[in-house]
Amino acid sequence: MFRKILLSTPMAAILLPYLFFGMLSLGQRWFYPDILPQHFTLDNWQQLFVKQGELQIGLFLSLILGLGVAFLSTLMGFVVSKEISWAKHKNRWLLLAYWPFVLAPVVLAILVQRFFLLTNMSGEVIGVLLGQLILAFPYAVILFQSFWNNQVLQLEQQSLTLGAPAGYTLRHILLPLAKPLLLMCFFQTFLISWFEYGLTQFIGLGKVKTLTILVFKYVNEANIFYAALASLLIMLPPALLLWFNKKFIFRGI
Amino acid sequence: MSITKKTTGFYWRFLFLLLAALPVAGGLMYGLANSFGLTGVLATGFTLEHWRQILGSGALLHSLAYSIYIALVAISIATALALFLSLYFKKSLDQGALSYLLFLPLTIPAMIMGFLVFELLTKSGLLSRIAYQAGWIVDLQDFPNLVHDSLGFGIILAHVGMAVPFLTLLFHVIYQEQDLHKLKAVSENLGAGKSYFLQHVALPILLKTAAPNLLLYFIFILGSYEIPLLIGSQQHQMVAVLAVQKFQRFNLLDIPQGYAISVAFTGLVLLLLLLFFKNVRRHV
Repeated sequence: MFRKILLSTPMAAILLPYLFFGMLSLGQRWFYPDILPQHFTLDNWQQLFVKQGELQIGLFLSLILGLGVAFLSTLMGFVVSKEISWAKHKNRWLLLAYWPFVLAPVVLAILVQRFFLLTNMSGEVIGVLLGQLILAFPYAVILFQSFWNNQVLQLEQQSLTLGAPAGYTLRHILLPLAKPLLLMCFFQTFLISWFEYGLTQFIGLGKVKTLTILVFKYVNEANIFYAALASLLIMLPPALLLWFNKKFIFRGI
Repeated sequence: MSITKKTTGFYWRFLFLLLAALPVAGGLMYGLANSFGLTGVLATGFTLEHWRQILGSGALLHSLAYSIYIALVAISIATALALFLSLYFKKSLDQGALSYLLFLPLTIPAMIMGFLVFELLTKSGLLSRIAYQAGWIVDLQDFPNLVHDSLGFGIILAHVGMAVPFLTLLFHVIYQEQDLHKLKAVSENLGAGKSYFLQHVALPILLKTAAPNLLLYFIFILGSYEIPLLIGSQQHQMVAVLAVQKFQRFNLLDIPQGYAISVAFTGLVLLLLLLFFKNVRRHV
């Protein structure tokens, strides 16, 4: 019995953010000392469907950036990690991939901001995308290192030796083998972009208003109902995907 | 290997350098040059003035000490809680609701965790309202300062909230991979009690194997920005917040100081990693 009560504590703590933000996102007028908002309505959620509304644009921007970063880093990470696994000084190359993670994202943003200003990419979606790639691309390279083991490299060599063209080997041998890892990399790099704040704020100069930027904006404006709604929009998609297949998404974290 | 293949490989590696290594190296070089007055809008040639100012005022050292305090306390509490959860609820982590639910907090970024802690712990937050309704306080001013406080209670709680699920899963995986259940059976056969097994077998193995991850998480907290920005104190600032503040002031002379703080923080992190891995190599 004691064990069950004790177990319910972490479970309640885990569900609390979803329930609490769910309540706030449906609420209006939450005066002290009421525990619940005075009024519950779908008005806040309807803002999401207002054409050209801030939340709608934020969601759209976050999606575009997330998908773009995930696609590019997965594609480039897959190819580059193979090159690195063949490289003479493999460990030195890999060490470089860890560099961006040594710095806090916001410190990294401060240090690279000048280059984005010089190239007129500050305040632009393309600048934020490139900025996020500084984190997501090396992450993908590191992730794919486990794929390019001797067995896979030998299989590729065998296929080429038997006369299969490189394209055929890629399509029929390497890609099917790498499919689970490719999907996992795509999702995890999508999350890097989806959750990113520091680089987006500094390189985007506050003009590229993704969902994380909007959460901070609404908190600053003391608009807790919209902040809760934007928070839910960030938390729900990965949580739902996780519900479908946790091991696929988080294996290797 | 054909020449074409070699050339393609060169281009891919160049792309890697361009996107992964160059921004960090270039950024650090630029930051260092700016902090020494060699570049930037108000550059006047080599000077140690900006470094003297941040070191002389004590702002950087104070901020570093505060950040280390927050990171150490948060990681210690989170490690203790995660060890308890992973060892006490091992069966629930293998199967049952907790095995699914524990992954959920991994989908909550720092910004949202900071916002959640703020809405729960501020004087007009949910806990204060519950305390009022329960009759424990008669006015919201009676509720203690749990956010924006100098001890960093809110920041520590937010980081603990983020770290515990991650570390619990990490310890759980290590327990399985290191076959600790077999070692437990052996130690029980040899007459050792549960506490002896925990103290002399399980905890040393779990902590030693998780040490690199614990260090990386410590560094992550050390450089955290969103959480202290939302719920940190005005008097004590964590390093990332202090650095950003220098950039956002109207005084252009503060910018080289911001770069100096960023470079100093990076240096500290690199030193930590160097010392750790040197130590690990010595003991391998």
